[in-house]
Amino acid sequence: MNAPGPTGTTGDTARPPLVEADAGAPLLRVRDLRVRYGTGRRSFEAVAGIDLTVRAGQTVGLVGESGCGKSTVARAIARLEPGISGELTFDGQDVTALRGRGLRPYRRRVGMVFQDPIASLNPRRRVRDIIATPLRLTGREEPAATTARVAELADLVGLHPTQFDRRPHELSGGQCQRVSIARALARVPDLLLCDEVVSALDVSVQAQVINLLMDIREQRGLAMVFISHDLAVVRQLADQVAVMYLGSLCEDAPVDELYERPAHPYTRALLASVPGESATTRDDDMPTGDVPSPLNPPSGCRFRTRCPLAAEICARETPVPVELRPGHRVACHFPLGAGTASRATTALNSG
Amino acid sequence: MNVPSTPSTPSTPSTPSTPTTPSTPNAWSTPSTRPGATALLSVRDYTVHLHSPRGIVRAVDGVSLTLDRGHTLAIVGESGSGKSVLFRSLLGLLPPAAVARRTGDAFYSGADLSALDEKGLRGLRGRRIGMVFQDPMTALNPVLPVWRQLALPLRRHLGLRRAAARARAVELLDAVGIPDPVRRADQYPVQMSGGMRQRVMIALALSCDPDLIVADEPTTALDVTVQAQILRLLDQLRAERGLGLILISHDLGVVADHSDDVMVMYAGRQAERGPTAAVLGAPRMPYTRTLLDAVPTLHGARGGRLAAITGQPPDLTRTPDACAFAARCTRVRERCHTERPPLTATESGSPQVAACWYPVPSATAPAVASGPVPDPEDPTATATQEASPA
Repeated sequence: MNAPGPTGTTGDTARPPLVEADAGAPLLRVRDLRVRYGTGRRSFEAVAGIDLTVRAGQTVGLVGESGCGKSTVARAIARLEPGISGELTFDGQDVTALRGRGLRPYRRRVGMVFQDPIASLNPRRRVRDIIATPLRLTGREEPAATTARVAELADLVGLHPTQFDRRPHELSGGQCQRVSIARALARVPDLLLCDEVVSALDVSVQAQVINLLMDIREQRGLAMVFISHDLAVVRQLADQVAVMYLGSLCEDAPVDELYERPAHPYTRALLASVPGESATTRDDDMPTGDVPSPLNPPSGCRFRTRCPLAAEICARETPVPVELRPGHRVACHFPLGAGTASRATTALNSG
Repeated sequence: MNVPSTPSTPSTPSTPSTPTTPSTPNAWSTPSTRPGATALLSVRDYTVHLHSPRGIVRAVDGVSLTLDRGHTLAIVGESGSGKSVLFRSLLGLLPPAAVARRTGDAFYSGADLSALDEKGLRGLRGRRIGMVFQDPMTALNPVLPVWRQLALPLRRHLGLRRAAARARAVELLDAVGIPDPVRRADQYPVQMSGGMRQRVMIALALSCDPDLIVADEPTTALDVTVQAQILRLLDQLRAERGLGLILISHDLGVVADHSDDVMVMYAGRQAERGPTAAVLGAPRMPYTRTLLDAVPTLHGARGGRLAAITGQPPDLTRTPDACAFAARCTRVRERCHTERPPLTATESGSPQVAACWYPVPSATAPAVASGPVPDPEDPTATATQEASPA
């Protein structure tokens, strides 16, 4: 990972240098993660072999279109998906095989916030109870201590004390998302999984929640997996960004590298499709058609049916991820900006 | 976000916008406005109040707009700003029992919309005005093959027979870029992807060759790569057929790329209106400025805090009789809390109008006789600085 260096050399970022993150060992390591839905002939792989590394204090963005499996990855990391294979290592411990009670210490350290701010909260409970539930489940704290802790968490996410006795339907979407974040932080996690947390919010509220996440991350040194279909939002928050398409990883790179020098044609297509950025896009970057069904994915490279560069080899062989530059991996037979003859070359000068 | 440096079509409306306040009674009787004389759609001082359990909601409050053929007018605003209610009301799509009060003028190709009864409006909808809604799955009938849905308006409005209607339905599917239209015509909406279904919705809107298409958040439910395809299709159809297009969206990027003019709505009122490049490039209303600053972009600085607007929009059952944005504005002064600002031209003769007592200084200051001229060396910095004193 080569996000902002120890000396903070990237001039245009206002973020302090992530010294600890650079030095730290991986907090979460995902190797060849697969998630299978259904059984027998109707079954399919929603996630088909993903590698991901999140270091302490680091934010990894996960982008892709609907149905690409990005939410499934988050749910698999939180161990909410039953049919997983591969390897999940958290803080040096293998958590793939943990079950039932054995999962509790792990779940204490991983918080999750979901997309729909109102649906993910129990409509019959009051804000203070929603935030207190994880505290009651984990420890035998005195009621007074719990109350104090709830007030502290609510203050951290910017909820007003007058809102403590309200129920979710009495709050706006942005306020509900603050409650969700407070609940996820109640057990002081090391890793926060955010699945499309700002997608349902209006622009001005979205900015408030993004600012809140940046503040909390800074105060607590939280690591985050930030999932979104919005490339601009991910760019704002992430240190490292992984791009998914139909269950596989296309590209994984430090944030500035990915947005400035995308190597996978799909990443290029995604960037070219962002409205309001058309001045920098060219027509031949634009993908054609729709995403194929994950029930019956194309052979070889899964993006080949929409790719402007697709050739015969793309149908025959699944591209293996190759490290173009340090921390920048791409799974493509013809990565952009690397020259067509450089497929076998792994080390390239970064100039 | 990149605001297009040159608008795709000359976007100055043929009828200059009235610089006077829309609530002044003589504003629309002045000869300069000529309601409905040339414009495809012309709306003056339109107000809609709705019943709600909490009282009367002032959903739309004194809105005026003009749209010419071949042009796109975007309506931007956050949820609850009244952008959808405005057009649902104009097209007679609101349940009559919900409407408490409806005032103002609306002319479509010179015909007074308020004089039309339900039957007259029905003749207009579908035939002269096509509509595209956000969610194609709920807007399409799930138990009819798509060609039968396309045939409904063709048979009703144009009196086509079954075989002719089917042939026309296949043509329409082809026109909106659906591959293999003959086979697709017999499919049901569930057999299609989201992008394909939205193309069917557009085909449905186009079926009777309308003059105007109202697209209400047409791409919000779609993926970003498909969204780009659908927006291009709408642009292409507008240009080829000389349609007027109303694009209702919350996405400033979509608006920047795909409209000639834009109207920014806040709390049921117009905050700012004018050519898209001018409004998004040099917004005068602080609300527009903050909205632009709140959106993260693909270029430029990242990682810093975004310009979030504090607080929430006012309760529309008691919208203040002053500036509706005053409580959240960084440029607020006393007058903003006591008097409602009229929609005024930002420079004399400019098509850009803003409802603000203390507008953000113009970034691209043309040589105006009066008023301080900002530093021409660094126009954007001046505007940003003024908008958010930190």
